[in-house]
Parts: sequence; structure tokens; C-alpha cells
Amino acid sequence: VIASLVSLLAVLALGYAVVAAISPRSGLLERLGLGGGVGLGVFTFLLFVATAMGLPLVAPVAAGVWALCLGLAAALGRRRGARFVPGSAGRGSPAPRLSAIDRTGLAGLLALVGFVATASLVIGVYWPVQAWDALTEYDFRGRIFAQTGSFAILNLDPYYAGIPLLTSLAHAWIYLVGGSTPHLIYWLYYVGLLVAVYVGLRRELRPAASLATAAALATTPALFVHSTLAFANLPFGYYFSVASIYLYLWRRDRRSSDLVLSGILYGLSSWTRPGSEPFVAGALLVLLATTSGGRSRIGAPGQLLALYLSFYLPWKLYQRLALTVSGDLYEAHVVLRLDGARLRDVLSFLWTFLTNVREFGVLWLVFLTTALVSLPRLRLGGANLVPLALTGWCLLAWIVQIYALELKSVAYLATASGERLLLTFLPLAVYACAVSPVSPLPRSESDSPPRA
Amino acid sequence: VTLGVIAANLVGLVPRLQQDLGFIARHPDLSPAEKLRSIYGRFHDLVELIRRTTPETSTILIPALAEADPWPDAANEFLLRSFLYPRALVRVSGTEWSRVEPAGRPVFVLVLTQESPGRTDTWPATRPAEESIVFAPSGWGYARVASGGDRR
Repeated sequence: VIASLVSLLAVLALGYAVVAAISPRSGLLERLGLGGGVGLGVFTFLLFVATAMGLPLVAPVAAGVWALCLGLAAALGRRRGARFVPGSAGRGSPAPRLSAIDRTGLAGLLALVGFVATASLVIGVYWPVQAWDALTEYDFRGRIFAQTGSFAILNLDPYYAGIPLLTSLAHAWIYLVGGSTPHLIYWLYYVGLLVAVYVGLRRELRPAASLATAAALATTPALFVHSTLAFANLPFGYYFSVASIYLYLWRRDRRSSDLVLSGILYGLSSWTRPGSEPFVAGALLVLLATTSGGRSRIGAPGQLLALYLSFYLPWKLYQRLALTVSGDLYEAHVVLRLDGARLRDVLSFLWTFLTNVREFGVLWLVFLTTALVSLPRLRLGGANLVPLALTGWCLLAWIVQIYALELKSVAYLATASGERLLLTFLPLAVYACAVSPVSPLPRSESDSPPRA
Repeated sequence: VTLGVIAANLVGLVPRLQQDLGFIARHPDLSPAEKLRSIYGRFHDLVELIRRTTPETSTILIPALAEADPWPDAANEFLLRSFLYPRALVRVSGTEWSRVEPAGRPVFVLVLTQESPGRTDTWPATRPAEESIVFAPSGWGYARVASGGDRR
């Protein structure tokens, strides 16, 4: 456990430095919330590039990649004026004035989140990797990478070559430094997601409202369960949702670092699991629809797309050019033809999942209600449209994706895969509710209205 | 509203926490293998036995896809491989396994049974000689495939 912790702290430090270099004005909490995900993503991506170029995947090489990347990020951060330990509020926002009720509420919510996060940690540390997909794919590949020092196992079967390597390389890193608890990776994503949501909301909501929203997310049963399993859904959900939150924050505040972080996080979502394309296409469309004229109308989507492709393309090229098996290519599953009965089945499944209180509480129902009530108050081009429209697009993309896969494989819906996919944009849906025009949550005193 | 949402979440979360943390409290000292056994049962006994008693250079014969249905764990090559790698896994028919030539590598065939209401499935259909079978505690096992076919 200690070695696992140390290896993840090293990655967190790397991510912290990268976020500080990109966004020198970011606060401590923001860097910590993004640091784990960005660190794991960027580090495993560079490990992949190094191994694909012929270097052995062994501890000294991995440590060298880590040190080089940390050094570069620290140097860039220093050049851009980033302080190593910024104020915790960050970005120069004033320290909040809290009433006694606020303080009690905050303490209660913090205790709840702390308890749930601790329970997740205890369960994750107690169990060895045991979930089916983790045993057969994500953790297996990581163990064999660490044992053999190469990607040779990917050529054993298309099953191993179909999914990008982020989580497997993160497991391999833990094994290379002598750790044995890869579940900690998923705990880091879970806590990072809560912190990132809190920090994003704090730009416009009061502390108690931001923390209550994070607590609503923390206690979602499906999300909690995934924080104790080695599946790719939670990491994908982290990258996609936090990327979308930063896209909204960029659209709202027009800070260029938010757009860069959003693009990197979208890119890392493609490095986590296949099938990010329709969701990221939605982000680009929403960005185009909500950005007014001028250079940023084309420049911002272009920048986002370039950052996304810089993580997306190398793995795709590697799959096609370097692997001898064809790989279980996601796009090979996609077929489309009209089948009304199957479409009705998919919609029925969607409704069952959205109303599954034991997995999602009432979060999806709150989202649907919020979206409906918000519609008349949304303005095309308004920043608040971004999270709601993007979540709506994701639900639509879910229907198309599950429908297309259903046509190919009847068994797909029988598994929990469709439900797990819904989990990946749940954090975005919760965020969308919190910042919607009809949100009852109290706004921060320092909040300024979003720019048009 | 948000507190109501949290309360609704707790309806699903609290029973899970009770179950998971309760298990940990009742079994704080289980080894990793014992924890996996609590989930995978006799399948875990089988792979532990194979891991302990066969060389890593072995080839393990497992049910052909058409015969795999009664054994979702033990006939799943990906789950088997996650425990038995670097041993090679080869799918064969339950009547053809004895024709596999070892060709310098030790070859073993799984021996599986499965009780379900109204039926008992066994694999392979052509069972190896009883004395050649090494059994795990829970009844599954494996037999070595002799050079030149089964010597039963």
C-alpha cells in the first residue's frame, strides 16, 4: 500500500506541476483536483510514447520519464510566474464570509464527504483487483506490461488491443515501483472529481452550495461503487465531465487556460477508453453554437480539437500500424439501420437506467426536470447553455451508440455496460443542474454574470 | 433540494456500505487469495491448483466455445489467462482433447463438472483416466495429456 501511495503521490505532483504551468493563477485545491487525473493521463501517455519508440517499460525508464516531465512542467510554470503553493482560494477570489449556519452546514457536509471517501478508500485497499473486466483486461495488461517490460501482450488477442492504455499503464507504474493496490488510482479519480466540481462551482456559488453539490455526487451509489473497482468508466467520466466543466468555465470567464485544460482533458478521455468521439463532437458543436463571432468562434474549437487529437491520434495510429492483430476497433462495431423495435428497447432501457434510484438516486430525474424548466430561460449563445446542452447531447449520443451496438450484439444491453456509460456524464449533469438558470443554489457574493 | 438528492442517494448507498464494510469487519485478516476465493469459489481453487502444480511453460486445454456454456468462469480464456499466464490456453472439443500432441511442452486438460437443476454437465465428454486427475478441494481438476494420446 505504501509503495502504491508513493507512486500515486509522484503522479499527483507531476499533474500539480502541469496544471500550475498551464494555469499559473490556479489555486491549491484546483491543482489538487486536477493534478491526479492530469498527472496519470499525461504520465501514462508519455510512458506509452517512450515504450512505442522502443524503450523498455521498466522502473528506471518510467522514473526518468516522470522526472523529465516534472522538470519541464516546473520550469515552464516558473517561467510563467506560477507560485508553488498558491492561496487556497486561488485566482484571487476573496475569502468567503460565513455565517454560523453556513459553518455548521459546511462541517456536516464535509464530514459526510469525508466519511464516504474514507469508506471508498478502505474498501478499495481491502480488495485485490477482483472485478471481471479489470481482471481480464485493464489490470491483466498492466501486470504483464510490468512483468515483460513491453507491449507484446497486446498482440496476443484483439481483445487486448482494443482499449487505450491509460489505466493499464497506471497499474503497471504501481507494480513497477513495488505497489500492489491499483484500486487507489480510482480513489484518486473519485476524490479529484469531487474537488474539481467543488472548485468549478465555487467560481459562482457559495461554499455550502458548492460542497452540497459535491456531496450529492460523492454519495451517488454508482459513482461510489466505481471508486472501488478497476474499471475505465470512472476515469473516463472524470476526464469527460471535468473537460466539459472547464469548457463551460472558459465560455463563462474567457480564461485561455481553462480552454487548454478542457482540450487536454478531452484528449485524455480518448486515451482512457474507446468511444469518446461522439461526446467530444458534441462539445465542439456546443462550443460553435454558443460562441459569438470574432476569432474565438473558429479559434477556440480549433484549439480544442487540436489538443484532443494530440492524445487521440497516437494510439489510433499505433493500433493500426504497430499491432499485428487488428484490435477490437470501436468503429468496427458501429452499424446503423432503422429498427423501430430495437430503438424502443433502447429508449426503454434508458428510462429504466435514468430512474434507477438504487444506482443514481434521483440525480437524473433532477436533471431532466431542470432541463425542461430551464428551456424557456436559455438563450442561444449564453454560457449557461453549455453544460445543459452538452449533457442533452450526451444522452442523445448514448441512445445512438447503444442502438448501434445493439444492432451488432444483442447481448450488449443485457450487461450493465449501457448503465455504466451513463455514469460517465453524470457529474456533468449534476454540474449543469447546479449552474442552470433555475438553480435554487445561492450564488457567490463575488459572482459576476457570465459574459455573453 | 440538494439535501433531498443526498438523502435519495443514501437510500442506495447505505445498504452497500453496510454490506461492504460489514464484510471487512467480519473478515479483517483474509489473504488476497482468500478474498478472491470468496468471490470466485471453486474456480479460484482450480486456478490456484494449476498455478501451484504445473510449470509456466504448460499448455492447458479448455472447453471449445460450443461446449463452454455451463462454465462461464472456467471456460473463459480471458479470465483463466488472467490467473494462469504465461501458460498457453487452447480450446478443444471434449472428445478430441486426447489427440493433442504435447510437442515438448507439458499439456494438461481441465476436468469440470457442473450441477444444475435436472442435469449434470461434465467436461471433457471423454473423461481422462480417474487416477490421472489431480483434483482441487472443491471437485474440479486437471489431468496430464500423455504423449501419443490418452493412455486410459
